[in-house]
Amino acid sequence: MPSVRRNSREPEMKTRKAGAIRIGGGSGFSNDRLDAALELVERGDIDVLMLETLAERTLALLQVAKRKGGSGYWDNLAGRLDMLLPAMARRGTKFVTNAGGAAPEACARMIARLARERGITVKVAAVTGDDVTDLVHALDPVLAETREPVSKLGSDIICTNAYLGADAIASAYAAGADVIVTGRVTDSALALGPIMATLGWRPDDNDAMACGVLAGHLLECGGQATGGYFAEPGLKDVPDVERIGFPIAEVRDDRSITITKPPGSGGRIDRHTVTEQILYEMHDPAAYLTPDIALDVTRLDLAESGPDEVRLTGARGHPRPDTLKVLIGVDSGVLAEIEISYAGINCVARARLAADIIRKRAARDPMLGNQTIQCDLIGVSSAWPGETERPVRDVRLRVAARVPDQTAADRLITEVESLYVNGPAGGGGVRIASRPTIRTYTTFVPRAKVTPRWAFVEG
Amino acid sequence: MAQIELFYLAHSRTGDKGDSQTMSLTPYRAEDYALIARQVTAAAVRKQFGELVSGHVTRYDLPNLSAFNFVLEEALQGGVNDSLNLDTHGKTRSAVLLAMLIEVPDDHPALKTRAALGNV
Repeated sequence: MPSVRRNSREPEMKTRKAGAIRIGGGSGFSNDRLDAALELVERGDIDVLMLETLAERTLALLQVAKRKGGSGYWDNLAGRLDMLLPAMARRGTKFVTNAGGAAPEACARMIARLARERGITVKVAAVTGDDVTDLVHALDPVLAETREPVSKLGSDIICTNAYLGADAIASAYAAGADVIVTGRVTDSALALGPIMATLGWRPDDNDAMACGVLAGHLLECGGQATGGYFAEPGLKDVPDVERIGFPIAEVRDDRSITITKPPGSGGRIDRHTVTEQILYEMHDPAAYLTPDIALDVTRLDLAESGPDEVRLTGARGHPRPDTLKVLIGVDSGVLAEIEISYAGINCVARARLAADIIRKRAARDPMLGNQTIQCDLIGVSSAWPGETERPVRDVRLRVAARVPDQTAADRLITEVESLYVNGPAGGGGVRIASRPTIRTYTTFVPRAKVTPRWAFVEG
Repeated sequence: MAQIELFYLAHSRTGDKGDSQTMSLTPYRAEDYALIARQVTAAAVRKQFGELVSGHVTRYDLPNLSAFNFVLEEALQGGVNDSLNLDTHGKTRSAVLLAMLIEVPDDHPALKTRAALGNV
């Protein structure tokens, strides 16, 4: 991995004030940059490293892997901890992650074992209780998407997990856990738990919970708060964008959040980058629903308090809902995507002819005849349908379909490959992808029926 | 008055929840907040997205942050569950919003920004 560049003119690290906690957002997705997470630990003066790794469908995919004899947790974690664990041990950094996926206890045992093998003494805790398969089976609640009970689904359910809040994480942290591994929790809870434990914030203190949830929300996408996913060349440039420093939230007992990044790192923190991340994936900004609070950012005060530093105050909270959101994953067949390029004069017409050939042949195929087959012209209209005004030098035809199984996927793949010798002139560069997909459904269960638990584990 | 693409006045990031699209809009200059509020209405955004959006469009105003938040329902052709789009999540759709044409005074600084950037 690339080494972290050092700058001798950097300011001294700030010393920790009493009544404050510094948390580093070490990832925006499972395979995010390891160098930036390591930089947070080595040079961010953080108390806690948070690693968010569990996208909506990831847990279902981990459950599928577990059924086939896999670990059930995010397997790349061990390789990452080779670098991170010794650094965290040197600095006394605590570690909170949802990488436990479908097997938080097994993941926690793996970490405890790794630490022991390296002579590192850590207390590792696992948070469980998010698997609500039995509860949902008993209650048979209505699905948001179909307005019918879960039992009407008719397809094999892969996983049923509730989005837990921060309570169990906070308890484990307060009890002295150095490493906390969870399955499905709401992303912001990975930060809120340590904040509650450190600052003594109670779950019924709505504005305090709101402050902690906002901090977590700003950390959970890593570089997206510090100049990632932001650059517009010439219009809004991001300094040293190839080595963006990941965000640090310093949360204080006066209910302020200060967002910074490791000194000397690339990226940018200002009103624009932080505002964009505050609103990211938010519906009603007066009621951003989490298991811990309904966050209200409509009276938030944002100040550029220093270079690459933003201070936030005035987060408000409305009481948390009495229900917990549950995500149900079911098998959704195989997504096949095949592409072929055409170039030069009249290339768009040739790509359209190729698409027409695929549609006509698929319509006559008993396995493909009833399937929706989408044809996109990449470089012309794949992201934004409509006619292009500008001529293009090359175009890529993409053929996509979600079919019941790999056999049907292979039929479609063969059809597109056959364009090489049977299709329009000059087609080239066929690439093929097919993978199993997961469909998710949403339902809600009473909070009182769900019991988050935590326990220390040994390696 | 002159016309300019919203691209030169504000930046945007999109996210998804099921078949709904969330989209923030943050003016580069806080002074342009009122001008954008008048022209980038929910109805105007609905029109800009055309057949891409079947459901309701809501605009939330955040004068405290000098920003707006839009929610576009039935906007992602089924979202990650059903969409066969290359960009299943609709992450690139902020570009559709920023292509919207906005009326600005003839001396608006964004016109100079556009001239300096050339034909992008």
